[in-house]
Amino acid sequence: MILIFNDNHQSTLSFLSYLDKLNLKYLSLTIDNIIDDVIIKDEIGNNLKKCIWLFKKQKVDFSTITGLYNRIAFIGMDKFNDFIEEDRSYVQSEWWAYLIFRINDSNNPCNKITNEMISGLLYQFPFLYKEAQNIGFTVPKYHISTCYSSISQIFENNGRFIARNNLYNSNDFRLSQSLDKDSMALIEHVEGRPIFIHIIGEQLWGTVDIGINKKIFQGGDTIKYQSIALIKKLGLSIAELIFKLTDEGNLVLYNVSAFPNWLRSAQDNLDQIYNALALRLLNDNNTCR
Amino acid sequence: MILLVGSSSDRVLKYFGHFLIKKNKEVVFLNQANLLNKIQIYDNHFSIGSQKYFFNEFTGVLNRIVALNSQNQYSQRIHNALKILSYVTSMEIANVLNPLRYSVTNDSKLYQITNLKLEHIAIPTSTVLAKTNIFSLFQTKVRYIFKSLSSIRSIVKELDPCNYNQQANHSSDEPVLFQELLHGLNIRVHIIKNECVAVSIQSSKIDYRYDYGDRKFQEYKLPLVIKAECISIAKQLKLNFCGIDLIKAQDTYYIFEVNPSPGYSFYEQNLPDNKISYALMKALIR
Repeated sequence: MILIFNDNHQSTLSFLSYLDKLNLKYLSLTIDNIIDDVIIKDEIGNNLKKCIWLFKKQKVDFSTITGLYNRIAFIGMDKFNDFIEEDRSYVQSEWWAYLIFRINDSNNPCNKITNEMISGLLYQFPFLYKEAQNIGFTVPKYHISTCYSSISQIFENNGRFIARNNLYNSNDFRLSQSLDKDSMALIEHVEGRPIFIHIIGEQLWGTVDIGINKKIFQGGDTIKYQSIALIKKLGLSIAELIFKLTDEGNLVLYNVSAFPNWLRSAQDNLDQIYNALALRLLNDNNTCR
Repeated sequence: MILLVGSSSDRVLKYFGHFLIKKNKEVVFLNQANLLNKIQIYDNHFSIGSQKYFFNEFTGVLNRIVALNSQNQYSQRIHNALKILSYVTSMEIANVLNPLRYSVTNDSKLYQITNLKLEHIAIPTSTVLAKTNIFSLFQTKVRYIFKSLSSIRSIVKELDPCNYNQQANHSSDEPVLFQELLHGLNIRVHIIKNECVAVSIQSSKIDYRYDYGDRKFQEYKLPLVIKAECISIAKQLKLNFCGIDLIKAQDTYYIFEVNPSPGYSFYEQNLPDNKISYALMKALIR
C-alpha cells in the first residue's frame, strides 16, 4: 500500500485522483489526521522494527507500506491550540521528532526529511544558491544586510531587484518597485520566461511557461546532469527546480522545492510524472531511479 | 584566530573562552544578541557594524548559536540576523564545529541512533506510544524509562511499577519515547575530530545530570573497538565535535544520543585536567 502524508495542496489532490483512476490502494493522512486520530505503537530494538498505526479502525502496518509520499514540511504551532501555552512548543517538537523518525525509517520515503530541511537551510536562498553554484548552475546575484540604509543604497543605485524581508525561498520573482523598512535581501531580477523542471529519481520533465500556455521544455544533457546532481546533493529524490530562461538562452536557477507543484508542468508531461511517481511509490523496479 | 559564536550566557563558551585566553590564543566572540541591524555578507567577508571579518582569517569556529523562538518584530529581526550568521558559519567559513546543517541530527533522537551503522554498540529497546495506554509495557518484565524524542531536554524518569494502577491507564496525546531501563555505568564520550575523551559518571539516580549528591566523574578508558566506533559515529553524522551518551550494562555498550553541541565543561570541570579543551583548541587551530 502507498501511504501519503497529504498537505491538501491541489497538486497532491490531483495525484490522488490519478491513483484513484488506476484503482491503486493508498491511504492519505493529513497532519490533522495524524495528530488527532492516529493511535501509535512503534517498537525498535536490535533486530526489531515494528510499527502499527490505527487510524479510525484502519490498521496501518508500516512493513506493508511500499512507499511514502510525504508532503509535510513542518507542523504549525496552531495544531496544538488545545494544549496549555507553555506545553505547545514541547508537544510540537515531540511530534516533529517522531515524524522525522517515522518518515525516514519507512520503506521508500519521497522525500526523506533531511538535515537541510530540519535546519531550515533548504528553504533559504543563500544556501541553495551556494550549493547550486558549486554544481555549476548560474544563480542570481544577491545582497544581504540587516542594515536598512545599506540595502536601500544598493536598491537606489541599481534598481532591478526582488526585495525580500527574510532569507526564505519564494516563487514570487516580480521586480520590486520599492522597499519596505524590513527589507533585508535583494535578489537580482533577471528578465526571462519561467522554466519548471520536475524530477523524480533520475527522470526529469521540463516545462516552459509562455503566458496562458505551457509547453514542454527540452533542456540539454548538462542541465539534466546538473539538476540530478543538485537534488542528490540535497538528499532529495523528488524536486521542482525553477529557472528563468533569458533571451540569450541562459538558464538562471531561482528556486528548488522538495515539495513540487506538479501542476506547473505541461499537460503532456503530467501523466508521465504521475505514472513515474506512482511506480516509485509502489517500489516497482521498472522505475528509473 | 578562533571564532566563538553564540549567547553570552552560554557556559561552554565562557569556559572555553577563558581557557583560550589563558593559553594566549587570539579569540573573537560574537554575541548573537548583539546582531540587530548590523550584519552584512560580502564575497569574502561579513561585517558587523564597522568591523569586517574575512572568512579565511578564522582557523576555526565553535558554533553554539541558539535559535530564538519568539514572534515579536524585534526578535524576528534578530532571528533573520542569526539565520545570516548560521549561513555564514555553515557555508562560507571552513572548520566550523559544528555547522548548522549537521547540528540538527538530535532533533529526532530515535532517527539519529537508529540510522547509525553500528557493529559493537547496541541500541536500547525502545517503544513510542501516542494515544494508547501504556498497559502493554507492564506486560513484560522489562522496566522502562521515558523521555523526550526531540532535542528538548527532559528529565529521564522511570515508569514506576509501584504506581502501576495510576500509570497503566495513562496515555499521552503526543508521542512519548519509552526505553528499556538499563542498570549500568553512564559514560559520556567526547569526540573532537579523531580524538576521544570518555568520562564515566557513577550515580544512584536514573538521570545523573540531576544528581546533586554523590555522583562521581572519572576519566574512562574505552575498549579500542568501542572508541573506534564512537569516532565512526561522529563521522557518520559529520560532527567534528560531539558528546555521545552511552551506558555500559553487562558488558554491552548502549547508545542513547549524540549531542552535536555538547556541554563538555560540565564534565571537564569534574576532571583533574583539560583534555577536552586542549583537543578542542587543537581542532580549531588546525
